[in-house]
Amino acid sequence: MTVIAEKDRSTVRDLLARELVEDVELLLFKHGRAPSDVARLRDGGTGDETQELLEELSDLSDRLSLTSLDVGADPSLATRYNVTAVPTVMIRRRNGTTNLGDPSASARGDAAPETPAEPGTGVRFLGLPGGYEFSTLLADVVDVSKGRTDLSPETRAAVQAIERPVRIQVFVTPT
Amino acid sequence: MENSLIRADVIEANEFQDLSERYGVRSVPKTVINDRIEFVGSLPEAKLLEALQKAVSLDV
Repeated sequence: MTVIAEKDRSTVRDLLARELVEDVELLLFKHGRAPSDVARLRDGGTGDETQELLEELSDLSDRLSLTSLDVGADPSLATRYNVTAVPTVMIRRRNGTTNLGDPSASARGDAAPETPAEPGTGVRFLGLPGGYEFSTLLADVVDVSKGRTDLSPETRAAVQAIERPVRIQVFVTPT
Repeated sequence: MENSLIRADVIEANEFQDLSERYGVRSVPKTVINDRIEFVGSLPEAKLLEALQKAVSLDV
């Protein structure tokens, strides 16, 4: 089954080719076992669809890659990334230092603590980023790749001056 | 993205109904900042910044 329609596929491919500057990694947190195995995690039930969507998306650009992490197989990942629900999608610049490809690294205690300062990890999608949210995801991928947002210089300065933790939750539906 | 202290979760309201109920989501998009400030719909950039600053100032 194809999630991204053929006509959208070329549009998205063109957009990514035009806009992406630095390599971007999509991180998908899901779990393969029954939810009861990871009682603390909320399960939206769309892990497989999200996986498929992101696979198709990352196939549309060489600058885009997907890393899927099974928090059922390694619950410490949920703790490390403060993941409370699946599926959760994060976006960040791809760099050579990540050890995400080796889930056992954290179990051995040699994983570097996750730094929230890593570009892009501040934005997460809980649940399938489909429908209208797919556009939001694309826009965020582009921003992370460029390393900048479209905020005005004044707003950017004011936002950067905030010195306390802020948690924003935006509730959306796909339509 | 501009400040590592700021985290934003985009939550699919149908998939996570317990969260939607907890925050009384009746229409979308609904935004909640630090569990204190909330609004429905989108705000212009300056108003959103005000909301962020207000949420932070309440958070003592």
